[in-house]
Amino acid sequence: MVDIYAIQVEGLTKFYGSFQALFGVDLAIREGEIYGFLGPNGSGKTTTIRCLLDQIRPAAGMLRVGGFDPQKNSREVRRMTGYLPGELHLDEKMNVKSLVKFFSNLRKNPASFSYACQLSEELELPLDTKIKNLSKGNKQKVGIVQALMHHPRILLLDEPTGGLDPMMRQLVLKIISEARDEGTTVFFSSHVISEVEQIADRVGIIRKGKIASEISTDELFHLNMRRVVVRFDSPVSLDRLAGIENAEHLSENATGTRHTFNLAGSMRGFINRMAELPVREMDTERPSLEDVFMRLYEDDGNGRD
Amino acid sequence: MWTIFSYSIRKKSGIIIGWGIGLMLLGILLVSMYDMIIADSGIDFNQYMEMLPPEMMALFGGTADFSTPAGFLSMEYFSYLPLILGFVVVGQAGNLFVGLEEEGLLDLYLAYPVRRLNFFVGRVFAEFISLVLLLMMAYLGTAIPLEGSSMDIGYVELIGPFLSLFAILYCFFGVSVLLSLLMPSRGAGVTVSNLFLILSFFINGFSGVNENLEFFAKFSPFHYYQMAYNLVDGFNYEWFFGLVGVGLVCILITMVLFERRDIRVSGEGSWQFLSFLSKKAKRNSGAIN
Repeated sequence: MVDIYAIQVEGLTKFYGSFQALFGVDLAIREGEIYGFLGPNGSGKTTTIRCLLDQIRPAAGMLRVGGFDPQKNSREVRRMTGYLPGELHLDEKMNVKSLVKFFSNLRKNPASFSYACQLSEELELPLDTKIKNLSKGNKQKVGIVQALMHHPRILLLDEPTGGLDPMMRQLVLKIISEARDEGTTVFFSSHVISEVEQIADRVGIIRKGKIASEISTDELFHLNMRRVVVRFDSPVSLDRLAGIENAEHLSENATGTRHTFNLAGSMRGFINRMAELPVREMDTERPSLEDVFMRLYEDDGNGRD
Repeated sequence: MWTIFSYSIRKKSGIIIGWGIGLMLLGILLVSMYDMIIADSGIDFNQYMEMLPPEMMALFGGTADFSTPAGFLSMEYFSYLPLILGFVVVGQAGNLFVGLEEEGLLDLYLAYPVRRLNFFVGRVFAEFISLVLLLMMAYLGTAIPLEGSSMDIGYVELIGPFLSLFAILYCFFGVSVLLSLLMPSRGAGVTVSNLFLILSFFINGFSGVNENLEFFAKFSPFHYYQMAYNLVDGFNYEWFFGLVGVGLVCILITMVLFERRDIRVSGEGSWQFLSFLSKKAKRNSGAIN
C-alpha cells in the first residue's frame, strides 16, 4: 500500500544568524496519524513547526504540507492547518468570545465561530471572561479551540500540554485523540515521553537539530526504561531475582532487603516474580528524555550525534 | 485586511480619544487666549519675545511676528506639537509589527490564512486613519473657536498647518516603522527613532543661530515643516509631498522586509538586517524547493 503523507520534510536546514538550528531534518507523517515529535528544549521542534507554517524560512530542504509547498502556497497550508504555539500569547484585553470571533473572521469562515462556541462550551470555557482573567489552563483551552475551530486537516501543536496540570493535560490529550479519530493528522511536539507514548502512533526523536530516531510507540515503550526500587520485609537473595524478563538488577543494600532494577518494556514478568516475594513497597521512576537518548545511542553505536 | 484593520483601529481607540480630546482642548484654549493676550491686551508681545535668548526663539519658530495669527499659532502650538505627537507616533510605529511580535501575537495571527501583505496594509492603514482622526480632532479644536475670535483665518485655510503637521508626523512614522524592523527589538527601534526625532528638532532649531548646523538641518524633517506660516507664505507642496514621500518610501521598504521576515517568537531579538552580511544568512534566502 502506498502511504499518503500529510507532511513531508526532507533535508530541512535552518540557521539563525551563524547558529545552525536544523541539520537536514527528514520527516514523513501519514494522513490521519498522530505523530509525536519528541525532543528536549532547544532541539529544533519549534523551528521545524514554524518552517512548516512559513513563519520562518529554511536555508535548504523540501517541505510539503497537505501536498503544498508552504513558501509558494502559504495561505493554502495555513487554511488547512490548525496551530497551537508553544508559547501561547493571546490578546489580554479581549474577552474569549470576541477573540474567537476575531479568529473566525481571520479565517473568513463564519461556521468556525459557532463550532468554536460549541467547543468552548464542551471545555467549560467562560466566553464572556477577559483573557487576562483566565487561568493558564483556560488560556490553553482558548488555544486549543482556535486551532480546532475550522476542522483542520492537519494540526500542528507545539508542546500543547506545556505548563498544564495533570487533569488539563489528560483533557488536551483526549481532544487530540478525538481529532485524530475524526481524520485529522496531528503533528505534536513534546518533551514528555509518557504523553507521546500515550497517544502517538509514531514518534520522531530530535536532538540538537538532527533526527535521532523515528520509531513506533511500541519501540519507544521498549526503550522507555523505568528504575524500580523494591523493599522487602525480609532479605531476598540475588538468585531469587535472577532471570526476570526485561529487568536488569542494579544494586542491593547490605541487608538484602532493598534492591534496585532497570526495567525496559513490559513489566509483567517482573510483577509476576515480585508476587512470589515478600514485597513491602515498590517505587518506580520514569526515565528522563536524556536516558532514552542514551539508550538510542547505545543501540546505535554512538554514531548519530 | 478589513479584519486586521478593524482589530487594529479598535485597539487604538483609547489613544485617538485620549490624545484627540487633549489636542481639541489645547486648540480651544490657545485660540481663545489669542484675543486675550494679543488682540485685547494691547501688549506688544514681540517685545517680550525679543527678551528670550535667540536659541530659544529659534526653537519656537524663529523671528516671525508673534502678534499675527500665523506667528502666534506657530509658536504656541505648531512648533512643539510634532515633537510631542512624534513620540506618540514613534511608539505606535514600534508596536505596529515588532510590538505585536514581541507580545507573541504575530506568531499566532500569521498562522491564519492571511496574506502578509494584507496584514501589513491593514495595520498601516489603521495607523494612518488614527493619525488622521487625531489631527481632525486637533483641527476642530482650533477651528471651533475661530468664529468668536479676532484671528482672521478661514476654516479651509486652517487645514494647511495641519496638513504640514500630518506630513512631518507621517515622515517620522515611516522612518520609525522601518527602524523597528531593522533593530533587534522594539525598544531599540523606538529609542533610535526618538533620538532621530529629538536631534532633528534641535539641529533644525539651532541651525537658525549656528551656521555650522545649517548643512545638517537639511537632513532634518523639521527643515521642511512649515508650522502655521503657510497661512502667510502659502502652502509648500514640495515640502509636503517630500515629507510624505520619505514616509511612504520607508513604509514600502518595511513592507518588503516584512514579507520576507522570519517571524520571531516572543523574547527573541537579533540584528536581522546585519544578518544579510553573513554567508549563512545568504544561504537562508533561497535554496528551498
